[in-house]
Amino acid sequence: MGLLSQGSPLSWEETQRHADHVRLHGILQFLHIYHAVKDRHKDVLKWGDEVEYMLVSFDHENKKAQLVLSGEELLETLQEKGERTNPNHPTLWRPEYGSYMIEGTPGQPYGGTMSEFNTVEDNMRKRRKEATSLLGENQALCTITSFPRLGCPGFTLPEFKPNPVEGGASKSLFFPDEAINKHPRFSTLTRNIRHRRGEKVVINVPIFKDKNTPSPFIETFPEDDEAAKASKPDHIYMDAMGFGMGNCCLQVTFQACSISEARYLYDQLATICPIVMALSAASPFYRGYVSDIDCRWGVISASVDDRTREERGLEVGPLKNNHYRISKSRYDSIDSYLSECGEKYNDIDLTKDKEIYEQLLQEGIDHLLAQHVAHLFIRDPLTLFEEKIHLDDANESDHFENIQSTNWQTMRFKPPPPNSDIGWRVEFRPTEVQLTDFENSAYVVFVVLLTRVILSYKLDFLIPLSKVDENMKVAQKRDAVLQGLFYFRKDICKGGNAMVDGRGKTTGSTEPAAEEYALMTIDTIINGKEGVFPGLIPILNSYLENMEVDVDTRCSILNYLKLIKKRASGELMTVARWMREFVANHPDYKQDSVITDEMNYSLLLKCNQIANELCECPELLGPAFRKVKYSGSKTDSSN
Amino acid sequence: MGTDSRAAGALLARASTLHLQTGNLLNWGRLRKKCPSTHSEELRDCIRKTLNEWSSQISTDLVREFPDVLECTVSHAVEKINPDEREEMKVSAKLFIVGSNSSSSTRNAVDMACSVLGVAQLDSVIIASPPIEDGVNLSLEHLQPYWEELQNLVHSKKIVAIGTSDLDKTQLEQLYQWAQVKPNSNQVNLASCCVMPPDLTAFAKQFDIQLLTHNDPKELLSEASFQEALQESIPDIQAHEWVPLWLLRYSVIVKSRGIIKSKGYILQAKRKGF
Repeated sequence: MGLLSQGSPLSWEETQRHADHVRLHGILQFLHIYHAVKDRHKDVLKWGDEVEYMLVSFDHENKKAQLVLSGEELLETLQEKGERTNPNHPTLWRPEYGSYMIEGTPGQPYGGTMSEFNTVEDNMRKRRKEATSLLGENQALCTITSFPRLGCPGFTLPEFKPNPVEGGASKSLFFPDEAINKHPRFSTLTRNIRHRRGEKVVINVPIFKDKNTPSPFIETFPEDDEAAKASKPDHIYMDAMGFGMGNCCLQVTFQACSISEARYLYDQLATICPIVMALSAASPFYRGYVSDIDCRWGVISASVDDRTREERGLEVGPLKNNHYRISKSRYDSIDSYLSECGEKYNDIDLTKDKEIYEQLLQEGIDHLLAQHVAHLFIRDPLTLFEEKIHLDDANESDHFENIQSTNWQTMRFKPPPPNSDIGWRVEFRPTEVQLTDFENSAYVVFVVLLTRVILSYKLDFLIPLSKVDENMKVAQKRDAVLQGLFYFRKDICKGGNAMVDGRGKTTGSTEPAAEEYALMTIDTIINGKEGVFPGLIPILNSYLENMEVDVDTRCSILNYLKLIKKRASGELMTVARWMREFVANHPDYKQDSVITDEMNYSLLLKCNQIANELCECPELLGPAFRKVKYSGSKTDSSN
Repeated sequence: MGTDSRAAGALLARASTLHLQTGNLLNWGRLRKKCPSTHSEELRDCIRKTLNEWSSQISTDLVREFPDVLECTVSHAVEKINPDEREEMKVSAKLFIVGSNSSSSTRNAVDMACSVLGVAQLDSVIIASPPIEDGVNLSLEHLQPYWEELQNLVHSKKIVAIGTSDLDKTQLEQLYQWAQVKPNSNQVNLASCCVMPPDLTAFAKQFDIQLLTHNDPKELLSEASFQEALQESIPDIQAHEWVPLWLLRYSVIVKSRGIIKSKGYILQAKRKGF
C-alpha cells in the first residue's frame, strides 16, 4: 500500500488545499531523481514478490470462519523478532489495508541467476511458517484473494456492527471501520476518497444466476438512501473501500538495467496483465454471494474510485468544479505505453495536467515519459500528514510517491528512491493470490522468466492499448481462462533479420494495423497453436534450454510451468473455478447463489488444508505436485 | 537457387574443408509463428539457411580463388563480444563429436569458437558423449582422448572449466579419478531432472560437480542428416562426400541478468579422401 508516514493526517478539505503544493513539489522531486539517475545503466536483475495474507479464525463448534482483526499486533511482533533484530532476516512484513491483513516479502531481493528461482517457494514457506507460528489457536494465515463473506454480519473477530455515520471512515452498511488497519493512513484514505467523490463508493458485481437465485435479484436498503439509489438489480452491491482494498494480491517487482529497459518491459508486460489475471482468477465470491466474475480487479477499481460525478462525466454541461473528465478510477489499467515502440499503439485518450507536461518537456524529458507523469498527476493527493508538508525536494520523494503510489495501475513504473543504490524498477500488479506457496511461486517465476525471454529474444507483444483494455474486461469474466478470447499480437518477433527469415520481400508494404493482432484463447497464447502462435511456454522452454540450469532448479521450474500450462489448457482448474465447484457441491448449497457461514467455513478450512499440504487437490494443482523436490538450495550455475 | 547454388556447388567441388557458422541466431528472428522446434530440427534448419544465405553472397573473386577451406557464414548475423562487456558475460559451449575422431577436433572447435566470438577464453566447455557402436557402453577409454585435449586447453587457458554430459555415477567417478583437470559439471537430460539417481546426486555433491540439465537428443546431428541438408541447399554437389567432424553450440549469457546475448552453431566438415 505504499509508504507509511507517522503523524497527524489532515482532513480532506485541508488535504485538498495542499493538493497543488503536493503536485508542484512532487514534480520537482521527480525531476531531481530523473536528472540524477537517468543515465544509470548496467544494473543487475534483482526482483521480489509480495504476497498478501488474511488472518482467519475457525470456530469449529459453530462452523464459522471469521477474519481476525489482529494484523497490527502480528506485524509488530514479526518486525520486532525479524528485521529489527537481524538486518539479514529472510522475511519482511508490512501492513495492509485490512486489520485482518498482512503483507510479506523476501528479506533481500532475489538475484539474477537461475538458481534464485529455486529459492522463491522456500522463502514463501518461511513466511507462512513464521507468521503462522505467532497465531492463536484455531487461527490460520490464508492466501485467498477475496474472503467469501466479507461484509456479512459478524465476519470479523471480534465482531463489530457497521456504523454508517458521516463521521466514520467508510460509512458502510456492511464493512465496519474496525476492520480497517488502525494506522491512520488507511482510515484517512478511506474517508478522503469518499469525501472527494462526494458520496460513498459504489461497487456492483453481477450475481451468478443459479437455478434458485431470485430473478431479478434485488436487495433493498430502506434505511439508506445512497445505497437504495446506487444498488443495481441482479448485482451484489458493496459500498466501501474495504471490499476492494481488503482483498489480497500477488505482486512482483523487478529492477531493470536502465530506464529504457524499464520502459520497454513496462510496455511489454502491460499486454500480459489481462492474460495472467485470467490465469490466476481466484475471487468468485463477494459479500456472501456467488458472483458472475472470477477476478477482483473491477471491484478494487470501484472501491477506491474518488472521481466526482463531474469527473465521471455524469453532469451535463461544462466543468464547474473540476479540471478534467477522467475516464478511469485511480485503480485501473495503464493508459499509455512508455517506450518508443509503444508510441504508435497509444490509442487511448490521455488526460494529463498540461502545465506539468510542458514543464517536464522543458526539463528535457521526452514526450512519452512526460505525458505518463502528467497523467498520474491529474489526481489529488488522498492523504497528507501535517508534519510532512514541507520537504527537501532534492533528497526526499514523499510528494511524488504520494501521487505515484495512489495510482494503482496494472503496471507501475518506479523511479529509484533518492540517494539509494536501487535502479529503475517495474512492478507487475494484476495477479490474484493463490492458495499455496507452490502456485504463488509458479506465477511469480513465470512472469520473471517471461521478462528474461522478452529481453533475450527482443520480443514484441504490443497491440493498441485500447485492445489491452478490452482484454482486461474479458479477463475478469467467469471462466475467462477457458471461454475468453483475447487480442494478442501474432508476430512477436521483432529482433529478427528480415533476410534470413525470408521476410525481406515484405519491406515497403506496410501491413494494415488490424493484421498485427488476432483474437486468441489463453491456451493458444500460453501453449501455442501450430500455424497461429508459438506460445509463451514453448518460448520459455527454448530459453531455458539455452541457460545453464541446475537439476533442482530445473525441476522446480518444470513443475511451475506445468501448472501454468495446464491451467491455460483447462486440464487444471483456476482457484476461482475450483471454489465454484466446491460451493456447488456443498450439501448446504441451495443453488440460490448464497454462501452461508457454514459453507464459508468448510471452504476456508479446505483452502487452509491445501495450503498446508494436509490434503491433496489434484484438480487444482495436478497429481505430482507434492513430489516437487524442495530443497531451496542455491547452487549457482551462472557464475 | 539458380546461379547462387551453382557457384556454391563449384566451390564445394574443389574445397576439402567446410566451416559453417550461423552467427547469432537471436539476430535471425526465427520464432515467428512456428513453435520453437527441437534442437535437431533447429540445427538442420540452421544449416540449410546458413548455406542458402552464404550461397547468395558468393563474390566473383571468391569463385576465382577456389579456396581449399570454405568459410560459410551468415555474415550479417556474426556478432563478436564487445571486450568491454566480456567480464559481464559467461561464454559456454557444448561440443558434439560427429565423425571419426581426429585428435585435433577439440582444439579446432575451441579455437574457432574463440575467434568467432572474439574472445581469448571460453568459460565452460561441455563434451557430449562421443558416438560409439550400438550395444557398447560408454567407458572411460572412449572419453579419454577428448578429455586429454580439453585438459590441455584448460592448461593453456583457452577454457576455464570443463564438463561432461549424460554420464552416470560410475562413468563420472571413473573420469574423476583418472582426470587431471576434474569435470566441474555433468549435464543430465531434462526428463530426469525430477527423478535423479541418488548415487549420482550424492557423488556430484561430494566432489562439487554441478548437475546441469540439457534437452539434446542422443544424436544431435548424424552424417546422413547433414548430407541431406547440404543436398537440399546446394543440389548439384556430391553431398555424400562430405562428412561432419564436429559441431559446437555456444551461448553467451549476461551473468547477473539472466539474458541470452548470443547463441549459435559452428560446424566443421571434410570431404572424404582429403
